[in-house]
Amino acid sequence: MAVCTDPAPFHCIRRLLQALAVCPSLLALAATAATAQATGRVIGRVLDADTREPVVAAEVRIENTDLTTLTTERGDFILSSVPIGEHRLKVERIGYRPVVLNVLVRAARATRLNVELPTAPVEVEGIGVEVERVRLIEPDVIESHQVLRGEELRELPVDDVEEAVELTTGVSEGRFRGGRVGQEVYRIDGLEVKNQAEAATTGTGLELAPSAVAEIDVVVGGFGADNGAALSGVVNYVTRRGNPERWDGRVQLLGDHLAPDSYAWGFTELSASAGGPLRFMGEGTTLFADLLFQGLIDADPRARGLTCLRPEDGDAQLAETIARLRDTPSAAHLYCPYTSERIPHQRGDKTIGFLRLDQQLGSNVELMASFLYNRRQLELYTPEFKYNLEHQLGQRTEGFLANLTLDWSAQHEGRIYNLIGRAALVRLDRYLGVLDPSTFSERSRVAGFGLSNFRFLGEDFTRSPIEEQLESGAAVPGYAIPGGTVGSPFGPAAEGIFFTEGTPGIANWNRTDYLATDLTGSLLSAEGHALRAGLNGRFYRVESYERALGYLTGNLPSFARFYPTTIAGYAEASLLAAHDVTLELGLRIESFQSGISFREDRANLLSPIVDAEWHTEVMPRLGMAVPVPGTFGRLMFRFNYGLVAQAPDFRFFLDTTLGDSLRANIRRQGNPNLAFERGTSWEVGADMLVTDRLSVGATGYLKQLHNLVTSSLTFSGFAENQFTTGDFGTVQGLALTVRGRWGWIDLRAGYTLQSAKGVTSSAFEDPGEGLTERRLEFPLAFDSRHQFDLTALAGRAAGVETRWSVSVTGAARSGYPLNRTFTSIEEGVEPEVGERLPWIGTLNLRTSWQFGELPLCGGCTWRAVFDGRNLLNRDNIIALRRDTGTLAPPTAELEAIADEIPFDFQPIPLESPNYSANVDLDGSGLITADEMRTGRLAAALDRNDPSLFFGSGSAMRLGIEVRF
Amino acid sequence: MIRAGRVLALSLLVVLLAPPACRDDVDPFLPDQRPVPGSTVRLTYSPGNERSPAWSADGDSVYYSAETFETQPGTPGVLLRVPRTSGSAAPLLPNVQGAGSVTEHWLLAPAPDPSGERLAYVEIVTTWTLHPCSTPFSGCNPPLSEVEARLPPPRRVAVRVRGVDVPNPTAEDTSVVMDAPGVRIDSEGIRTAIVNVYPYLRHFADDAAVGFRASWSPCSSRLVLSDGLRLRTWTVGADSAVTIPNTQDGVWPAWSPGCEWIAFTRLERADSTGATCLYTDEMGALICQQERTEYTVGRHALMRIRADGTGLLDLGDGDEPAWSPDGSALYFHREGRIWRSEPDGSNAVPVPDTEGGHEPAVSPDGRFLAFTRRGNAGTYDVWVTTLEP
Repeated sequence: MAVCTDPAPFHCIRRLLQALAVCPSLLALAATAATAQATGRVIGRVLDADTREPVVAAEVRIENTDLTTLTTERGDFILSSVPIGEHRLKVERIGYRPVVLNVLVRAARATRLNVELPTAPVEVEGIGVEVERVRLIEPDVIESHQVLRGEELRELPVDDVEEAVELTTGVSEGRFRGGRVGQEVYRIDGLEVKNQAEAATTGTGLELAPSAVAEIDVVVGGFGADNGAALSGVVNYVTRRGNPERWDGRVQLLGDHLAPDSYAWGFTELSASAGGPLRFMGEGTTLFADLLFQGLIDADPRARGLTCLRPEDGDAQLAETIARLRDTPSAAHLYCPYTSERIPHQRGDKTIGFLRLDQQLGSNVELMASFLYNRRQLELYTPEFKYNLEHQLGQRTEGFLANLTLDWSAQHEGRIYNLIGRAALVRLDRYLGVLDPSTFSERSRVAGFGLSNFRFLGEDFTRSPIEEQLESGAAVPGYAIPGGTVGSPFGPAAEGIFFTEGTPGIANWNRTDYLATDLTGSLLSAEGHALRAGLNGRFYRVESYERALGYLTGNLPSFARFYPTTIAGYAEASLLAAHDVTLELGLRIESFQSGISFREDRANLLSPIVDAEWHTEVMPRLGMAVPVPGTFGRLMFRFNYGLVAQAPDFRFFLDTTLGDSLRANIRRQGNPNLAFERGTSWEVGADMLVTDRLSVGATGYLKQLHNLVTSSLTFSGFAENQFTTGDFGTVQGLALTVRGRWGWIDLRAGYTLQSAKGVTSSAFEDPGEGLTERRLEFPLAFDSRHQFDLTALAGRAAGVETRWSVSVTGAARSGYPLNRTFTSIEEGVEPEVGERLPWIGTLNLRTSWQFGELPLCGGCTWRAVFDGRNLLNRDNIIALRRDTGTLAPPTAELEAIADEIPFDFQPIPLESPNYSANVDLDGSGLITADEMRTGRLAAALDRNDPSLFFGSGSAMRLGIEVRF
Repeated sequence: MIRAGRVLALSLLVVLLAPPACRDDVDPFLPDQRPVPGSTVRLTYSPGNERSPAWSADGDSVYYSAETFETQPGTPGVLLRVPRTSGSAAPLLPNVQGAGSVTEHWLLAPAPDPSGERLAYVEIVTTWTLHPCSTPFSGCNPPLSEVEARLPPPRRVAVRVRGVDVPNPTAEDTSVVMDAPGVRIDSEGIRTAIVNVYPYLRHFADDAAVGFRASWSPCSSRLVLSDGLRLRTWTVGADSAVTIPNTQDGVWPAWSPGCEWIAFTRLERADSTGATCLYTDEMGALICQQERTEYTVGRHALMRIRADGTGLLDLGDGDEPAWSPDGSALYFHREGRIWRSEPDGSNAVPVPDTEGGHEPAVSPDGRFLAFTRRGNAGTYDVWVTTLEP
């Protein structure tokens, strides 16, 4: 056995290598074509089980691969380019009993483990040790995160990856630890893909199908300097690559057409994926393809379906009003005339296509090329248009991502050098407008899904050169002033309440194209130290078009085309110090510029035009993971601190309407010179492995956010109604997690107690009452005090070879604040929340039975799947009216609408085109003023249907899955 | 067996989950359906008078004139069409009396020709002012109420003909214009209005009855009409109409399908009363006067005559005659309802379900009878009933 005495261990290893050069199991880089984005690293130390001294020159290898290395003088080893997934790692050394471990390798991460070799004077059979698939405790990890593997993801009752991200403790309805939607960043195979134009209002923009995902890593706190453009969280998606050995795949068909009416949304999903080697392109070249089609009759189903106000939904006066209507035989038919299990005018479909090619270009260079396509299109139910048979609002979002990654890796003297270059082209396009009636009458659909795009009225016009539109001043072709007196259950009484003719007025589209470039370098040592540095740039072209009253001639649109740029650089060091303490120090610098030239003073036509400034932010990040000595890694503490920042959504550079103001054409003034939104984040946590199968954790966190985008501030120094970064807030909380694995069951549960406060005004809501110049924090609109979540996997879902599989997910959260008005403006008096929305809870289940081989398909297996959502059939209330705190408006408001009858009203005779027998309550052939009033009251009740105030409804689906 | 069972199970599962949409789109709300009418249908309900029903050539619609309609709220005469089975009414002349029309036209008594290609109608072109003198100071001997002292409305009346669905204004229609007899103004000296409230004017003012109505000859491009005091024939395009002898006080003419006869009503004058109204200024000086003669209506005689004025025959009491499409029967108002008789007035029988009915009009296929009836509000509405075979 060679003994290395050279004090410079790297030189020693080199001599050992030279000595063992003829050995085919020498240190070698992976020959398998695996990119850094579908590969990880294994780092560890081999110790003598008795003496706990390092074992030098022990051979460490991944079975069934060419990946092998020798331990250093300190017993350390490092293996790079290990394909992600489960592997058997064998450690052996003459004089010791070999040890075999099952390890889980995760993408772009280092799996750390310590191996103890028992001494054995003679050859004996090796010891197999089961290492947890995902570690129950990670003594070397600084950040707070949760990992979901692809195999688990496909067993869960989720329709998309967003629902899977929701299962992470601290994430609720797209909000990460009390942050606003849009404060997180998404990465696909290491590439940051954020919908920077309008993340806060329209979400991610690009999504992967669950069947295309190898792993999701959701980081809710303590993310390092390599992550930017986020205040609250990072979601890392790793896509699947083809199997290098053989072609395999999966097809699944799932639908709810057989379910009872109250459990069916008209949902159909077909997903198919396949991957395998392309040997004609070179050894190790693989291709993976994935398709997902979803057809939806009701794309946004709600618990009560299309419903109406019930007596208990409002005040006592409402109950009396409804009772009066129902108890009048001639008028009873006017109460609740139109209900349905599913909400009408919410048809839609979704298409996701993904293609990935991996190829070895040389011994050290990997190429990965991927293409992602998204299309999601749906009608948008609008209560005032629910009786309009021709025209509804709709929305189509399309996304394209083409990504090219080159990954160079080299291993030398116990160090791994890695350089990754990425270039990607991304397009995100969203169109919101009035659907062409032929979209559903002439477009072929199967089970709600159609291959062709939705057609919108006047889309060619709204996308034509803006100069031509401004010159013509024409209305959007096809748009018409909303109105109508027939077609609803209330006939002429519904005039002005429901629009049975004409169209909505909105025409709005946004297109963001950008080129993303990344260069990242890293150096890892077998001792566990790492240095990373990177640069990235995003070069955007953003077009934004908005027209609120498209049916009016002369109503001008708001349009902008501009070229923002974001660049960032970072450097980070990760050190493994004494006692296995991990230290991370990082620094990130980000800059952005809106690319807009604007008049310095909009009120003064003579003021100069200036260019938007570059804004720069420097963000140090610090973190520490400390295993408690003597606990053998079973107890550890975490601490991290960092400054975080993100560029504001580009839409706030422009005059824009938001929320309900879109319909009223109220624009808030854009600000091309907005600065970064910033925050400071602290986190302290502890994790303990209670038993080998159970771990618990607790994390306390504090985030102070500054410079959040807002409008409507009346503080002095800000232009009224202009976007500015003047909002601020504080989030603090405590997260408790439990993780357990017992044979065939895998359990994860979490609870978060949290407080999220901020100023009363924001870009997203009305300021409320009692606004003063005092900079006082209120509970934010999305401040949920308590959050529980649960994920349980059993049988095949937990990775056990059984025929059956069960997975259950559950979540419960306390309600958001209903009103946040001042109760007092005295100094030192805290603002109070009068009421909160009720608790929300859901329970979902997915179960399957494997039948085995599929006839007529050699090598295929198939199973039947049952998927149930909101099984407790809970009518979760997700919103209430602020003015009443109930589902119903004030009854006085309904009465006022009912009384809106012209003083010179003439009775409407039967032969009038406006006549409706429904409102001619006495059947006299004349609709009198009293009958009109009753009809208007009923119409006002119906118009305020609370359908959208409820969460998702229950659903049951059946499906089959075939694997080959 | 187990393998076959799995095949069966899989096949069943695939069939059950077959993608063709088991779930349809959410059913939209369907607008309310109008009530299904019975054999006698009321077609109009508006508070004003609906008069002068006539049939479209295809028999699917009833034309009529209405006091006010939604598109012309202030117009006293709007020509409309409504489905025979009840439904929404629509303007007959949408370009003239549709929504957005600026000029008001007082149009009455629509009469489509037998081919359905042309439409004749009456227009009250000008009216008299309601008071002959613009002064609040008046004295009538014997005393008259304000209503009685007013001038009757029609001053100049036109009978017009136009093609169906043509867009031109009414002034461009082929027309014959007449002075409505009854009022003469003498401006020499003290302005004097000589007013004779003839029976036809009495009916027009009290009942909105349109005695002027025109009726097409089935055999030529001629119409028979009334100016209120006599019948006239008019060849479409001629400058004037020719008086038919022996038709004094004749109104409501109807040309028989066989072209030989014209049925009409003679409103025989019974008594008359006279009054003189003097109008003075604030100083008491006489500025104008009205000499007024009111005729009471005696018998409503149903008559038949040839276009040349020969063959006059009294058919008995009756108003508003209408012929059956084959000319074998005559329908008319008598004793508060609709009657049917032979062309010579014999064998008259009441038509069922037509109590209170006026202005009968038989559909081109002879199966239905349109008429007007005064409702509870005191105004006339259009009805349709099924005629027994």
